[in-house]
Amino acid sequence: MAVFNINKREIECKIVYYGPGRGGKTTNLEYIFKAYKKQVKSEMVSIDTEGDRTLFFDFLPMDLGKIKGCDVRVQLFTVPGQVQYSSTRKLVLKGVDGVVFVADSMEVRREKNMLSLKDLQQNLKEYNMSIFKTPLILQYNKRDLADDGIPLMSVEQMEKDLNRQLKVPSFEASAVNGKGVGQTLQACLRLTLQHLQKQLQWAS
Amino acid sequence: MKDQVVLTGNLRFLNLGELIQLIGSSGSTGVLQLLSKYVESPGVVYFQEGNPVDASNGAERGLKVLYSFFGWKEGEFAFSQEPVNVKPSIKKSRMQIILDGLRLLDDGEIEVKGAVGFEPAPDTPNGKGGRLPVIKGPLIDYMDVVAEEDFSEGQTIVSQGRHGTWMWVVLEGTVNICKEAGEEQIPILKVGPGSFIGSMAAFSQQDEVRSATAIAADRVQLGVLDRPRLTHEYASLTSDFRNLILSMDRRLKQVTRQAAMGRVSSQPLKGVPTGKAPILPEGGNSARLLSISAGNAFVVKSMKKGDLLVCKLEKSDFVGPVPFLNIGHEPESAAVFGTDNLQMKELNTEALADEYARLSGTLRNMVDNCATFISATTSILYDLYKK
Repeated sequence: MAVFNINKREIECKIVYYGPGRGGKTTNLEYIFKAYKKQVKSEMVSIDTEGDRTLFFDFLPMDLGKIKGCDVRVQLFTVPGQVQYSSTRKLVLKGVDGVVFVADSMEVRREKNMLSLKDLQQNLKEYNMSIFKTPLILQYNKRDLADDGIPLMSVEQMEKDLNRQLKVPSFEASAVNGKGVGQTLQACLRLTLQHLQKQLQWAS
Repeated sequence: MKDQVVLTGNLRFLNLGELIQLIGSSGSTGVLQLLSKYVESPGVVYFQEGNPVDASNGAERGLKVLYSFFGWKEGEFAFSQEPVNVKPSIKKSRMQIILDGLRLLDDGEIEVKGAVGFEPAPDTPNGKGGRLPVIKGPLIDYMDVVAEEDFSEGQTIVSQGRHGTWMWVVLEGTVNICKEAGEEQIPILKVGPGSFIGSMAAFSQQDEVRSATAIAADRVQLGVLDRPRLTHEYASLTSDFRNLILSMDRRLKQVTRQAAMGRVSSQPLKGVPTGKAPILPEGGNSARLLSISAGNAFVVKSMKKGDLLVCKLEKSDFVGPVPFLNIGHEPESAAVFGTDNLQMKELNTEALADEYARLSGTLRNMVDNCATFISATTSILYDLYKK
């Protein structure tokens, strides 16, 4: 549910990075914050939550044009995974316009990924949203760890585990060195804006 | 042009985090006032071009005060657009404040000012611990307190099955409310300052059998209520309002019994007429408040394991949502079924709401407290059968 600011002729929408703890959500956002410095329109807010960090900043996407003559400003968030942070999760997920699910490619994290995705579905449902109707991108992170000999799941396996029913665009990435981070964000922005356009047409 | 209130509402609908975002994205300058019946003085937040620059509550000011407002889960807010001339004491960005405030709240570092908090329940023999609600009442009206009584930890205040019509308000400490089943004491909830002990049904009769046991959880101070004064006020109410009070009391007793059963058994409680369409479906948005004149109605929650009977209603019980109270039953979270001979008449909700607004502080607090008891106990009941 994007917010229209008539005075500033601006549409504010919200993209949330979701995924299991230590899977690379914050690394994704930290990379975006550094690499796209010019498009970042606020300070980075970083909150230390137990076992995880919650990040936030404002982002101005380029080359995506305007919607109904309005600029688009995007709020990028990560959301803390721990159950106890329900108030934060609620604020962050309420009215979310697009979601990037950052999955951990490490074999030992297989179950964590699936549980977290299920958790996302549950949480969205609580705010009357369906995971099937929300713009969503999957990112298979930490592909670089294969070089260190750490056992990873194959992309096929991850597709089967996580994307069999969703059938959404997915990308490989290694957020530590920025690979795939921009691609994931661009894809999510495009999908989110398309979705917004469609909603607006339907509304007008 | 002072006091230009441009936005008002309830914190339950729009919480502080959302409010700060909203005022922030409109870039407004002005004053946000918060009112909670659980806090003595109003909370005030000053905004300069969309950013919170100062906050005050009573004599205290600053960021810490602003964080404390995140614990105000219930209450009213009003934002007025006006020039703000305060020395900025808050420098953090608004999203930092929101996310920090919510984290502090979730970490339990901010005290929640509201009717219900939760703590883990002790395990029962079949391993059903779950959560135990801790219920606080609104600020106490000392007008109706005629004496004070002290109890030490573990001392029984009232015993289930005994007769008695005394009523108390908890002034200090916490009291465990338990249901007795044979030898066993089943914990239902805890009540803290501002909560009442004793049934409102005692207003209508000379004799009342205690339906639960109350035991002091720590050092407890109770205020004995002026029962003659309250009984007199009760007697002056319209029969519709008296019925509403008695019907709430009956609901509370039934829900408490069901929750106690739920703690010791894992089978949903049956007894619902099957194969019938509900007269009020769950999740419906009917706003009609009815009163039963003949027959029975059943409040039923549909669960994965089967239908769960919440309570059985009889003649002069109300059916439907009470506009000024939230008991967490029909129609949002439970359905209502009726027997074939069910007959109901519609109640005048406007007149009832008027009467509610005119109640004395203590009686209104008692009615609110009873509604909170019902909704908290019901949510426990739902939890017990969820898994």
